[in-house]
Amino acid sequence: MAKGHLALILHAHLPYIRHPEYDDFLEEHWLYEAITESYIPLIQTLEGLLADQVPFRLTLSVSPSLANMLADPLLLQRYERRLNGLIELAAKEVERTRWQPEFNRLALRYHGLLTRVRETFVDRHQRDLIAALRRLADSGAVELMTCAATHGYLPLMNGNRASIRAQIQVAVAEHERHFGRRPQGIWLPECGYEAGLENILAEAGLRYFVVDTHGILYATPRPKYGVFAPIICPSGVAAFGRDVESSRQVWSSKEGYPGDYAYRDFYRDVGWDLDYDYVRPYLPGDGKRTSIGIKYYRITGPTDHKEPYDPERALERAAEHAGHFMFNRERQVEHLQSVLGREPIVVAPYDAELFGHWWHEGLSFLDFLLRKVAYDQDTFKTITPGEYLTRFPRLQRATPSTSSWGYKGYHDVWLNGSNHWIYPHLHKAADRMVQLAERFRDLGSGEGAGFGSLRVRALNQAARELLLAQHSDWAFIMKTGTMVQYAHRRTWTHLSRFNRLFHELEADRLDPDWLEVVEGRDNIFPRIDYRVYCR
Amino acid sequence: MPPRHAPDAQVKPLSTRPAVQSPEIALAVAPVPPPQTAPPFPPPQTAPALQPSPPVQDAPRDEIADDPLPPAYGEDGITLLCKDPYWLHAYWEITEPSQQRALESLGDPKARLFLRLHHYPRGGSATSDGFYDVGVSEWRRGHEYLHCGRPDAAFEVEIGLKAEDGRFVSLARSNRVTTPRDRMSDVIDEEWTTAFGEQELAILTARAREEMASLGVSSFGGSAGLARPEAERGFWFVLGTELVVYGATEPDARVTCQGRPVVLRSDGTFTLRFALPDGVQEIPCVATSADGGTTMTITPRVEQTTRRQ
Repeated sequence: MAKGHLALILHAHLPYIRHPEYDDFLEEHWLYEAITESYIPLIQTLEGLLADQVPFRLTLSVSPSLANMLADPLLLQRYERRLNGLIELAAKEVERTRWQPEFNRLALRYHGLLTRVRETFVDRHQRDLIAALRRLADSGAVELMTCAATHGYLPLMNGNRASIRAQIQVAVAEHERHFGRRPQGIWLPECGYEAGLENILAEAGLRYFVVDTHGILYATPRPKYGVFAPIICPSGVAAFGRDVESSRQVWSSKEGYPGDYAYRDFYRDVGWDLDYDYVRPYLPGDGKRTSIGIKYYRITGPTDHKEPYDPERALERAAEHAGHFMFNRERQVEHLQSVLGREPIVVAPYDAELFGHWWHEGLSFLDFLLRKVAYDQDTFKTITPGEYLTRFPRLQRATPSTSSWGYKGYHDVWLNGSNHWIYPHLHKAADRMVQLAERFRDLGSGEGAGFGSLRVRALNQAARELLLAQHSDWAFIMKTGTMVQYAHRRTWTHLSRFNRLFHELEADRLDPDWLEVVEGRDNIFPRIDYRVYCR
Repeated sequence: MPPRHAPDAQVKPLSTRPAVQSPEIALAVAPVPPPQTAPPFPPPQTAPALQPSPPVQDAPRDEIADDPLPPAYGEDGITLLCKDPYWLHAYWEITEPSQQRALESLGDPKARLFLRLHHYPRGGSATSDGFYDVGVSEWRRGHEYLHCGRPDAAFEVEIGLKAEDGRFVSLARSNRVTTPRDRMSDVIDEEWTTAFGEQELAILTARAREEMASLGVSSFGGSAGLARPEAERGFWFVLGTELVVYGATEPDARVTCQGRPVVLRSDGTFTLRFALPDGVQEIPCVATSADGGTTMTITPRVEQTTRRQ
């Protein structure tokens, strides 16, 4: 008899980056890398568990912006081109390293991994990863959550209810469009929560969301079970809190598993290490050196000297780490169960891209972990939040505290000297969007108006531009200081296009040619209805 | 890839587009306690623009021109945002006519611009139970971080002109915000009194705090787990050698190199490239005619010795 539960949650998100106006665009490669190294290997891992009939539960949040990219024909075509290029390079590497056995076996391994990624992508799923995820959800073992439409940081939307509601309602509609069912839960971008949000979530029919540890610990009234049981807001939506211990073991730079010296080094990459002319055809965008994805070294230690990677040894470490993680959860669950007098739930959320992309062995870890939990112990079981709520409906009524999982626990990361200039513009645009939606609220349904009418198209495009400008990623990038200029450009571009649409709609002077170009560029959420912004 | 994770020196952005410096960012102020003396009014006429100048881009296909963002929207207003339990952020815009009117109504040319931060008791009271003033200089458009030092408390901010004799003319008033809690609630539900002992509760909250003060999980976390150990790196030099073996034969011939088949281009040429380790490499290359009747072998022998000094 299990004494408690573990809810593993992976959050998959990338900002909507699609530049048809360029042949090859550096930032689009974030998606391609994530598909090759994280999303497809994750699908392979979960399919393997299902094929072996391992009983497990895992929750995966897929942001609507990511789902839209995974469904975009141009990006998929470009991804396949990229994957073919990588396979070609890996084949060349097998030749090139012929006299270096320690690297040759790694080149062969990459060639095999990439070829299997291609098989999964093309042969098994006909390039439709959304359908692959949907089938995983159909199995009942995987619960798909949604996220705000464009991962907007909700606590900094200045309480503009219509604008926050649009992020949520569009997300729920998009989730249903892609995955064929309404989401039960939502991953709040960056766990950004502000009191009052739970009402908007309830309106959208959502059952639960996740906040950081202190969001629950500092809830009002004080939570009886700490973060080890969800609380239920007065609006009827449940809030789960992140467990510090299980998170730290994976995330932490000091105690975390991914820094183990046997694991593959992320930074040494053929894109940096090999002769420029040789790697040039495989470098993205304008051909500046960057990572390509073929990496031959292990972390080795705090030194510039890196030893060749040993995949067998790394795999053993991943198994050991999975065992360690499981052992610690067993002790934690036993202890909590004795203190709480009920079955605790330990909520362990991570960025999905950590597994595979950053932490090369992360998916092996996950695979080992889920198998071990299923067969090697009886103390706890994996569970999804939705399943938990069905089984344990009696919850303490309380309201979480404003919080995020960013540095310092509040809004600092998204509001500071590097990025505060965006808010006057974002708030103004959101106000204007509501104004437009109100003014033209009867347009879409009016006699003869037709949904394809120019004005309706312009209104829908204005909604897309606002949503794209609201990606929390832009503020985050401005703060972290890498790729800053791209984040500026995206914020500025979408706000500028929004403003132009606003003025054209106000003056009733729409430019159909320009609108068509912009619709082709910023084509996220093809079925958006601007009236989602009506008050 | 996703910058969500990796602020690392080794994974630099590689775009060729020159960096765009936002004028606003150049002017951005780190949160500072309220200054002791306010700058004189009126402020300089060169109000900073709020947006970065348009980036210089590579020329893509069918480029469309996006207009710069407006430096201001021509409406008086002030907005208050929470940054954390102790700090607020205000941004505002005051149009020139409004400023002139306020200045005239005060009749004091030495009047200065102030933010007046009002604190409200809990429970949605309409009356402020106290305020303090912070002098600011940017009147047309401005930003300021305000230290309120009070978690779980409600605030509004006014922007206005203050005469030397203390008279205050309000120009705009903000929305009301409530700062986040920074500790456990004192409100306890009788039915749900906490299951944890005091000591365990203290440990739980201490861990949560520790976690918040560390890098945070999110976004930063991915790189935290994989942070490249910072090693001292002085002058450095790396060198590799590769050997290129190339040749040509009849396009329909079969070629092997060290016993492994070689793919010929349609014109019968081929190129092989090998990382060259120290030592001796014998590289027998064999070409056989399509009918199998003729075989030719060429065997380069390469020796490499690397000295490091």
